Amino acid sequence: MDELKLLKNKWANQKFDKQYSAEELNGLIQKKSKSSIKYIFYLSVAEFFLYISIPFIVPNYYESFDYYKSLNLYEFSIAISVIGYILLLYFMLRFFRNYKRISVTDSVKGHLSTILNTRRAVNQYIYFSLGILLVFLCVVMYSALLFDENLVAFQEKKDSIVMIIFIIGIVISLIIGVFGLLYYFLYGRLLNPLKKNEKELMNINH
Amino acid sequence: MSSLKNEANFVSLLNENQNLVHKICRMYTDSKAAHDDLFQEISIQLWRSYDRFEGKSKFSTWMYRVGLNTAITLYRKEKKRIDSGVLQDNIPQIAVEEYDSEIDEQLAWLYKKINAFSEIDKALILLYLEDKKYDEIAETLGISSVNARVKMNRIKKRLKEMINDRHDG
Repeated sequence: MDELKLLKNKWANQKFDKQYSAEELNGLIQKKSKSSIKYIFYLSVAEFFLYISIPFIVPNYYESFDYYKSLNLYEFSIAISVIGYILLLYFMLRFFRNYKRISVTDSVKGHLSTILNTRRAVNQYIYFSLGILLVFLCVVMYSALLFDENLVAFQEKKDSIVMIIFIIGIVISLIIGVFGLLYYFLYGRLLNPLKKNEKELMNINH
Repeated sequence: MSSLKNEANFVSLLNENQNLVHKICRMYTDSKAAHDDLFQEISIQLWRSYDRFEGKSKFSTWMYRVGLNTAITLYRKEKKRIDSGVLQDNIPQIAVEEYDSEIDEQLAWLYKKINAFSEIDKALILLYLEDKKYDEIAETLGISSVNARVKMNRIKKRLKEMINDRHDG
């Protein structure tokens, strides 16, 4: 035990080479924060706004509803759009409510959890959106094969329904793959250490 | 005028307690440049949240929270990757020698040893060496007092074993 006391003593009395003067400290606190976590939130907000702006940036977005009408899917496509925007609103509210709660004066575990929960709202939104998109695409695809005259004619000619499904499958996997990679690079590196720390603190409590 | 006074008060408190910030920086970084960067970031975060410091707890107690939160969550410096194992073995020694010339030899050894520990364990060791009470440790980290006590006993044992190993080796 004496050894530990000695260590504590040395610890308490340690001196550091650099001692800032009051003027230097004053200068330091005027500088800009280099915290990298804030970028996660800038990106999250950008993601939400990207989803809001889809009708404006996708060419012929509104015309596509006429096409759904021809497939007898008009009500379905409107319902999906409405659900999409209700989800967006819900997750945005959750995101901003958590964001406001983030405080560096919180306990370490509290601080980690609010940061991660804020980001989780965005992740859950993405999963729900992708899920709905997938369901929507499948239904449209199925109906198109039944009602789209061009596709019906194409099938009769070449009998290549398997080929079409195969190509669609590849396109969907590619989109999900690109999203996955993007997410890994954008968020994974910043958030994984936080997740590890949160887990460690949770394990202490169990 | 009052904000200027506020700023002057803050700077004077930070000045008095700067060794504590240095200790956190020393624990969580492995080079002088990273130490200085983290010191700056902690100072900025302390100043930004100074309005919320109500004086109910000691300034130093409040500093642990902000300092540890900054070191553990807000601040991430990409570590330079060196692929060669031989080079990696040599780097910690060079870093320690260059870091603080004045530092006590046993403390330099301690910092080097705990460099490999998890960020949470580093926080626990820091709070142990600072002689904090279980309640304060629990409150700072967001764990229960009972668990803080259990963890502290393990940390003590681990430090003791490390010291013994050093003497034996």
